[in-house]
Amino acid sequence: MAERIAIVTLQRLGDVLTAARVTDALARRRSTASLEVIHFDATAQAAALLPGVARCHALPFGGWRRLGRLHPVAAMRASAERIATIVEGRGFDTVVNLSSTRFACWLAPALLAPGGRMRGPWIDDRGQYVADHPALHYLDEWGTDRRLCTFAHQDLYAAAVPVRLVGFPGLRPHASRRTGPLVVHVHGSERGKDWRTHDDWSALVGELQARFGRPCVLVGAPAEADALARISRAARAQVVTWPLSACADLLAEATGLVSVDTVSIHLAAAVGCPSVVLRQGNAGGHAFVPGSHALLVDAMSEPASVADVVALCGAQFFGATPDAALAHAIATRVRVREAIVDEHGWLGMRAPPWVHVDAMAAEDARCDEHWRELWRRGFAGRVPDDREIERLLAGRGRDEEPRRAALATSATLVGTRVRTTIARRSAA
Amino acid sequence: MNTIVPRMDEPAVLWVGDDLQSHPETPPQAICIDAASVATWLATEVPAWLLAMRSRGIAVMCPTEAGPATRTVVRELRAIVAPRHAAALFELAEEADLPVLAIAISQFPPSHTPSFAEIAAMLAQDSDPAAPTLTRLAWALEHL
Repeated sequence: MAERIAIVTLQRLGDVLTAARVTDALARRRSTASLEVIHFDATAQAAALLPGVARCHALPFGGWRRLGRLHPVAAMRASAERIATIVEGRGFDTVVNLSSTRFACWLAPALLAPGGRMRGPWIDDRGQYVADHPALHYLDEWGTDRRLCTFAHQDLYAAAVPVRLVGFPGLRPHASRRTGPLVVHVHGSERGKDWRTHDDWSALVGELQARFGRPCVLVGAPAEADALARISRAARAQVVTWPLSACADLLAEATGLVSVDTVSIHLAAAVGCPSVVLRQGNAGGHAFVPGSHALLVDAMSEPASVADVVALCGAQFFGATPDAALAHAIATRVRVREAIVDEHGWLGMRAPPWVHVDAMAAEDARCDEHWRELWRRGFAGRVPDDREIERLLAGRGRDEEPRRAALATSATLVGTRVRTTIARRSAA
Repeated sequence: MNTIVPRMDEPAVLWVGDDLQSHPETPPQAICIDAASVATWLATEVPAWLLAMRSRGIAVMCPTEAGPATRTVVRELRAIVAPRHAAALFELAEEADLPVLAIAISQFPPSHTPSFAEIAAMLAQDSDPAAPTLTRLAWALEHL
């Protein structure tokens, strides 16, 4: 039967972009009659880029909140009329929810046709949260905590739909050769994710242009135009505050992207543009790995220096790997890993061959692999055997203690199995 | 003013002030009215066109520097066009052609100001086919 499918992606801009892989895979299925996307009005530009989508329906986040503050009938009336317009009297055969918020989990089933089925998290008529895939249980329990989570957020949602994790050709599958500028995105959605001062950005832009002979283009939101102009002045770099589709075109030809912002890194990943991603605080870890072609630079004791970033751009965009001394110095300040797609199709991270990896970092990476293997098998319904659990408990990585503590309270099959093994071992 | 097309997803804004259009705080697409006219409405009758827009939401606003007289008429008009107590919400739900919602709201004491969660819980007890979707929307709006 030809399916009418709705994708509910009521998230931020960057998250909406990661739905591209899901919409592309579902649109290619022979059983799919049509694919429609439900998003918030503020993310319309990202929704418009999603491949295979017949219609996009924008929900007015701010408008409904304002109506709700006046009185409940106004918001109920507006939302009921909007949903009626979207479902057109029949509803969708399948609704895929890619959002974990309670708003989305309550709303998504309202789009279903009688007898239709939900994919992704939702709340049933009795008010019970329903997550019908182990990857969603993992997501709920381990979230995006950079110490706990060892999977990219977008992979967990895609696995729960389910769609194949590999095979997405990207938003610009026939992009031209990368002879364009170096694109620099200065500000993220939160100030806590920012890298160093505007003066440092200015120095970085000047140094990138001088070292590599490519022009830099600073991108950002219209509200950031003045700040970007100040940064670019000394280096005479161009500033653009274009719509997302124009930025996608820019990145499709760009030599590379330097960014702290999740929107531009996901957009770059979707058009195959290599990136150097400067991550501070909670932006680190596996959860926000955007896709292959990204070099992820996680701040440790301090953010990367200007000279560090220039060296990393040389390695990532021009194949000019830093010498051993510089690579060693960089590794003392920041953790540098390249995004990869592992042999099972999951996004991951590993140290590039030119990065000095000390014993602790090597143990961290080994532990990450053990946890990924354990959970990946768990997602396929396999509980770990004693050998796998022993190996897990023997790990000495820096994040092992919080991970074991989280596992001790995990309601998943994997958590139950591990607790049983530990109890049996203690008794023996 | 009778030809105003109500906005579906945003409240209409009634801007009460003496400078009207020229005031820098005036929101775009606001309906502007001076405080004296509003006082006359309150003393006689609020226009039918305005009352007809209540169930879609009307935000009554005034400039930050408005004087006490303006603030008073704004507050009094707000109570009429943007009520929150159950007795008035029942009328609005009927006007909005949402009878299941009206029945749910009628279960509350007239002076109670129900939240989305309370309305959702009441809707969940109704066996009408329209109730499940409205219940979901009420819960969703509670968490927006």
